[in-house]
Amino acid sequence: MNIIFKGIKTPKHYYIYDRGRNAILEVDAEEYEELENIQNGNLKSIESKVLERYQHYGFLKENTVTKIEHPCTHALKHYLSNHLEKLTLQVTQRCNLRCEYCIYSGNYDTRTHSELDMDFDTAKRAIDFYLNASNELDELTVAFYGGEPLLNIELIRKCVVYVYEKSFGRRVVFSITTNGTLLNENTVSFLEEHKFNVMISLDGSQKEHDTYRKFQNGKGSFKVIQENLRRIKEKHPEFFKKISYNSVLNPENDYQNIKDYFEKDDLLASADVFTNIVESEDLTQDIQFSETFSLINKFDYLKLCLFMLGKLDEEDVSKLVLVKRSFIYERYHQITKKAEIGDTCHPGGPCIPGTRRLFVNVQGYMFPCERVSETSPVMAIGHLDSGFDIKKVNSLLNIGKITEDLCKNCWALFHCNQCAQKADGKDHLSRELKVKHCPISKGQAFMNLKEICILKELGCTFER
Amino acid sequence: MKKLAIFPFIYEYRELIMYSDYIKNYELTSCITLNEADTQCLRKEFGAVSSIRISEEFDGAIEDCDIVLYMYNPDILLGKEEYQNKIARTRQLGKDVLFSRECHEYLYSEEMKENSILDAGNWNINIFLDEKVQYLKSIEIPAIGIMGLGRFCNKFCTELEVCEFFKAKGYKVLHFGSKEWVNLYGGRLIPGFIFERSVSVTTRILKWNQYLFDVCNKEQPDLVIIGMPGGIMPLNNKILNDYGEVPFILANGIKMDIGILCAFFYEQVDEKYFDEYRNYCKYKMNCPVDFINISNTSCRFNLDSQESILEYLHYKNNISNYTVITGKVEGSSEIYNILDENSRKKLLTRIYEQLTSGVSVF
Repeated sequence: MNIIFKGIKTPKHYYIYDRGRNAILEVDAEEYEELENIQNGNLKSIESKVLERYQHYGFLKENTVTKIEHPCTHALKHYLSNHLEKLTLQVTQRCNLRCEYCIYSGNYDTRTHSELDMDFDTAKRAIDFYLNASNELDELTVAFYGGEPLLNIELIRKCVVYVYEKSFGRRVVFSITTNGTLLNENTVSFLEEHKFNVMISLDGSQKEHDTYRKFQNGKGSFKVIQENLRRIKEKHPEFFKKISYNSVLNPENDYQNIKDYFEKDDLLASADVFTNIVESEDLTQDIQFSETFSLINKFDYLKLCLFMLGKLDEEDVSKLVLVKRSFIYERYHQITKKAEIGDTCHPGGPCIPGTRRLFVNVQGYMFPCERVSETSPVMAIGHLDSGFDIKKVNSLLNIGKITEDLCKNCWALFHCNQCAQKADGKDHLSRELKVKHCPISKGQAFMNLKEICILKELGCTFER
Repeated sequence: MKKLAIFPFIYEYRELIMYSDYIKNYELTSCITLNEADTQCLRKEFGAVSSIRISEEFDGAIEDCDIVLYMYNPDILLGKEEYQNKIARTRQLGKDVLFSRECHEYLYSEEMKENSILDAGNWNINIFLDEKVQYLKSIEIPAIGIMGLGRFCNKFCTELEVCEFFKAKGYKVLHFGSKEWVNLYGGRLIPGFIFERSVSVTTRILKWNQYLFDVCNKEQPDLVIIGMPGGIMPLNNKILNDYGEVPFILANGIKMDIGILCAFFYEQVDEKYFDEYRNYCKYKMNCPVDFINISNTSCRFNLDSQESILEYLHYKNNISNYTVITGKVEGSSEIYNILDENSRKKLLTRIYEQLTSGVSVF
C-alpha cells in the first residue's frame, strides 16, 4: 500500500500530515511510532490497526495520484484569451542607479543594464493585447517597471492616457516600482492625479541603503530619496500615506538598524514595508545570513507568534514580520478544508503564466512575470506580434510534469513553492535544477506545517 | 440557596418542575397557578414532586420562599395591573422579585433594575462587526444543535439532559437555551440581536458567529450546546414558524457536529418524513440530524381554524416508545425518547460515542 504522509513532532505532541486529504491529524506517541514503522517498511500496512482506524474515518488512504497536471490546463486558452489579471510594462531598461545586488548588474543569469526604451507603438500593442484578453476581470491593473521606469515618464504619461481611452467605463489601477530618486514635483502630481500605487525601493537608513543602492557615479542615493519623500509628505500628504516600500535584505546588513529605521523614523514609521531577501546568484543555494541577523529575525518571529497567541499587542511586533501572519492563517485554513485528492494533481507552486502579471519587455517579448530571466528562451511565452505560445505556456504551467515520478509520491505536493523559474535551463526546463531545489522547498513546507501544529497547540485560533 | 417561587405558572413551564434538581443557585419551592383547574392539572402530572408546592393561592405559596420570579406569556390573560398588585404584595411580604426578560418587556418600568431581570446582560449584548472582518470565523469546539418542529417537542428537556450528562463527566459546557429561564440552569439566553428584524439575516449570522467566537475564545468550553427556539420550518401555509429564521441563523453561525431534531409524537410515521427533515436541516441549516427525539405531545389542527391553529395533546412520558416507524432502511434515523430513562441513556451514550470516537484532525 502506497500511503503518503509525513510525521511532525513538536515538543509535546505528535502529528501526521496526510497528503491524501491535505490534513493534519493529531495522534498519540504509539500511533506515531506505528505509522513511522509503516513508512520505514518495518511494519506492513495491512497489519496496522492504527492505520485501519484512520482509514475508517477517511484518512491515510492509498495514494490515488496517477498523473501530474495543472487543473487549469484544459482551460488555459480561455484564461489567456479572457482572464489576464495584470499587465507589467518594462518601459525602459535604463537605470540611473547601479545597485550591487541588482539582477541586471551582470552577476545574475539575465540581461544587463542597457539604454533601450519601450516605444509607444509597442506599449500600445501591449495595452491592446491586455485589454482584449481581460474582459472577465472587474478591474484592470497596469504596472510600470524598468530599469527605473521614471526615466521614461513621457511614455508612462502616454500609456495612462491611452489606457483610459481604450478602457472607458472600466476600473483601472496603475502601479509603479521606482528607486525614488526621480520623484520630482511634476511626476508626483501626475502619479497622484492618477492614483498610482507606488512602491519605492528603500533598504533602510542611510548606512544600509547607500551600501548597495548607488548612483552610477558611486554616490549613495538615500539623501535624494529622503528629500523627495519629505517634499511629498509636505505637499501631497494623502498620497504620501499610500506609498509602500520594498527593502532588500542583504547578508551584511545591520538588520536591527533597518528595523529601527522603518519602525521609528518619523517619515516611515506608519508606512507599509515589504522585505525581500537578496537573490542568490546560485538559485539552488540559500543566502547565508549573519548570526546577529538570524537572532533578531528569530526574536521578531517569536514576538509575532506571541501576538498570534494573544500574548502581545500588534504594536509590540515588528511590521517587517507582521505581514507573515496572513500567510500563516491562509495556510491553516487550507489545511482545515481537508480536500480529497483525485488521480490528477499538480504541485502548488506555479501560477498560470501570463495571466497573473504578464510582463512585456521593451522589445515586446512576453514573460510570466518580471522575475524571470529575459535572456532565457524557455521563459519567453510569446511576443506581441504572434501572441502567446500556448505550448510554452503549457509547459511552464505544468512544470511538475518534468518531475512527475517524484511529485506523484512527494508528501509536500500541495505545499511546494517551486515555479518554472527554478527549472530555468535556458533552452529547456531542467529536471536537474528543479530537483536540486526540492530539499529547500520541502524543508520550507515542513516548517510551515510544524508552525501550524505548534501554534494550534498553544491555542492560536488563526482568526483575526 | 434562595428559595424560589414562580408566578404565573403554566404547563408550558413544566420543565422547571421536571428538572428542578438541575436548577442552580435556587431551590424551587412553589409554582403559583392562576386558577384551580390549572393547579389540578399540574398536580396530576407533577404532584409526585413533593418538595414543590403547586397552588393558586398566592400568599400561601410564597410564604416560604425568598424570591418570586415573574413570568409572561401572551396566552395568559393577566393584565399589567394584576401583575403590579402581585409585585407589590410580594414586596410587602418581604420577598425579592425577579423578572423573566419577556415579563420585563411587558411590564417595563424604569424602576426595574437590570439585575432583577434574568440574564439581561446576555440579551442586551452588543456586537460590533469590523468592516474588514465580514466573514464566518472557524470555532473549533464541538457543538450540538437541538432543533424542533414547534412547541412542546421537548427541546428544552433534551438540552438540559445533554448538558447535565456532559457536565457530570467533567466537561465545561456552554449552553444557549431555547427557553428564557435557561439562566436558572446555568445556561445563557440567546442574545437579543438574533431576533432583531430590522437587521439582515446575514448580519445577524455574522454577529452570532463573532459573539460565539469571542465567548469560546474567552471561556474555552469543551462543548457548546445550542437550543434553537421556535420551529425549523412552516407546518403548512398558515403556520409559518417565521420560516425557521432563528434556527437558521443559529445553525449557520457555528458548525454543528451533532444535530438532534425534536419532533411531535405520532402513532405511526413513515421514515421518508424524517428523510425530508434530515435533508432540510442538512441543506438549509447546514446542520446534520443524527438523532430524533419524539416528544410526548402530539399536535393537530383546531377543527374550526381552517388549519391555522394548532392544538396540543400531552400524553404520558413513555408514549413515544410506541411510535411505529414504517419504511425503515439501513442508515435510518435513530429515534429516542428523552423522557424515558432507558432511551435517554442510549441517546446520551450515542452522542458521547459520536463525539469522542472520531479522529482528531485540524
